[in-house]
Amino acid sequence: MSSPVIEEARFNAFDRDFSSPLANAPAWIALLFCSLFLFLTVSLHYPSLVAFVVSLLVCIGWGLVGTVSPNRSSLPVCAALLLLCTLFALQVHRQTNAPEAFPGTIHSTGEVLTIREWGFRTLALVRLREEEGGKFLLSFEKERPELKPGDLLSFSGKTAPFERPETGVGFDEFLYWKAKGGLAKIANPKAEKIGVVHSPAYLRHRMTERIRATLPQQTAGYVMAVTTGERDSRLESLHRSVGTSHLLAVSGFHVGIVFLLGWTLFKRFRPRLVLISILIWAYTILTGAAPSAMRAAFMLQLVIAGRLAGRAGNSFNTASAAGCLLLLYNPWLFWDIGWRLSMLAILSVTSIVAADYNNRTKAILASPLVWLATAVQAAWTFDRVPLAGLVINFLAIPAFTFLFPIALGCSLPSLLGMPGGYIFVAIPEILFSMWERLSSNILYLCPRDVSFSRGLLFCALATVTFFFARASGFQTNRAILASVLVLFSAASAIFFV
Amino acid sequence: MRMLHRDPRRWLFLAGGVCCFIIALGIVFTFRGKFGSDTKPVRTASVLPEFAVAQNTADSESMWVVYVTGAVMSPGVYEIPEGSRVNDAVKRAGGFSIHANPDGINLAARLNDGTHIRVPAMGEADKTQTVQTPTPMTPSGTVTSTTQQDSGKININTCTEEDLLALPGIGPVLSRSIIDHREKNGPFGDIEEICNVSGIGTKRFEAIREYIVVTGY
Repeated sequence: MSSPVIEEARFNAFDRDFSSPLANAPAWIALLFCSLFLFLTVSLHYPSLVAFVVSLLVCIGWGLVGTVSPNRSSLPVCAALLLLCTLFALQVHRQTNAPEAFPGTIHSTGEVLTIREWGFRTLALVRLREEEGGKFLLSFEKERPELKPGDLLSFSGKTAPFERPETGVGFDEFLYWKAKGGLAKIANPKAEKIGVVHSPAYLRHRMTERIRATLPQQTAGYVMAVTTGERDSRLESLHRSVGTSHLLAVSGFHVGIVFLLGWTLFKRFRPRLVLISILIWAYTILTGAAPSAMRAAFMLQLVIAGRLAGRAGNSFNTASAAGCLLLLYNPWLFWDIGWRLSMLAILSVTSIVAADYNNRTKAILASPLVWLATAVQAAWTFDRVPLAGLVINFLAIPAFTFLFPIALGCSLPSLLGMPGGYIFVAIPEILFSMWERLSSNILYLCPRDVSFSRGLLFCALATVTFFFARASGFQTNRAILASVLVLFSAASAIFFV
Repeated sequence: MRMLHRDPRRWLFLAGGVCCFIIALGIVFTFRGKFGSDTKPVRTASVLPEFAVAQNTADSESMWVVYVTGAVMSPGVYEIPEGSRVNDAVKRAGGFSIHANPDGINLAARLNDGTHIRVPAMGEADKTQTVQTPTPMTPSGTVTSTTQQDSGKININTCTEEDLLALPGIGPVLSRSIIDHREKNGPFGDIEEICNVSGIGTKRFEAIREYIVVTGY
């Protein structure tokens, strides 16, 4: 299997022992703590102190169950983890308990970052120009100016806090927009465009316009997704129906391709890794810095930093560290579906890569495990997940590893306005049509969907825990025990809490 | 990989780890339901904005229930805000599936409460009635668009008084009578039942029969 996600993980040396999870994957323990703490405090409304104790106990439990041979050198790691977890808990406690700080009415100027059609409304996330002004969500229901990302708006209106579902179940506007950095919303503001800010959002919009104007529909959709992070609604619908939406979201797959491109392009340059780092971050910012892209960029950055320092690590630990860094940067990302799916996918892949299986076993196990790990979350959020995705992803990831670079290369003449560019563009257009036909046929053969169920949840929990435990350095019998413990805890929580 | 060193205390660690899990679970049980308005997990943010709007506006607006089937991602019964159009319902059902024929359905058509929307797949648009509206009277009365079916005929089960005025030989009085009859007796089972409306005889029925249709009762 030639997935770049796996490729990126292959940079890590296989240097693990089976003495303690603290020695193998300390970052995973930190990520486990952060995730549990956030879930207990914000989603389940437990007091911070209780959540802290519970999260800490689970992390200690994880460490102890996996330890067969304690090592004195683990003590500094243990102390550092405790400090990190405490600081994280304090920061989240401060953020979740602090009163919302924004004015009742606002009259300001700001840059439009993103625009979304939201049912009957048009929403624009605007970043104020003042320092520490924050981001506000403008909700236009009736009259709205013609908005584009990068526009400079002068606007005024009454602010209102984001809402949370009273019953606890349902769309949580507060968490959704908090993850995107929003402070409050302004319904039907008076807004007027007063200029343009030459920012990444503006550049992204201009690129999108250029791609749409010069390339045929299918190729334009894919090139847009890869270069600007903008999604074509037709392609999005198509990929969702076959379970390959992740190909359109800028994620580790795309950042991995950029990494490989940089690796090839800067072959003769001396500070090769530094140049690749710059390329990766430029790409991440250009595509809108989606959580999945940020996660991949952080992860590759950690790998590169490790290389520069002459150290190699566990890829599972590196993926956990990237996720942890993102949560430290913005704890609300925990409720971003992109962050969750991205983390589940990369942790699953790296848990296979980091474990001591042979290459054939790794190739066979990776795709089903990623599907199972992400299917629970996807089914919970989107109601159903196509079963065909299990098969299609086997083919999709290797296929698009080649299709995306081909599409980009063949689109360049057209995008640059060179004569005869349309001849080159025909190549990816035909290839994408063939892919569409193939995936459609597979879907026809396997039209079943999987919806969220406790069975699916328990199955995924047990499997994922086993592989994560193995990647953390657990022995097989201990990994099975960890799975049983997690399964027992989850079942108890669901049936009795 | 170095050889595993079997520490005699490893069973102690294992027991300690299991105890930690059990204590953590015990604390969660002890404090369950004591904080916040509820302790149920919050469903994570949906990337389907329409779903979000439907959920959010449920408390403040009256909702319609529609049944979406055919070539959509998630066929089923959905709640959508009053005044929605076919497009909103299709998006609510996860959007078109890969087999959908987007040209086979009018996404701009207005909906009613209880409507059955069937999104046609490729090649079946011509033989499928895509929007079926069951009851004529809806809270907002926004039924005009759905009365005009594919053939251009007026659906007498969903049309308004104004729609009926377009029919030959139907004036305001007869138009009102048809609506009154429909409200009193329920939807028409067949177009010939319109003859039961006082003032509509065989001759008048023959004049309008080409222009009317009955669906979704």
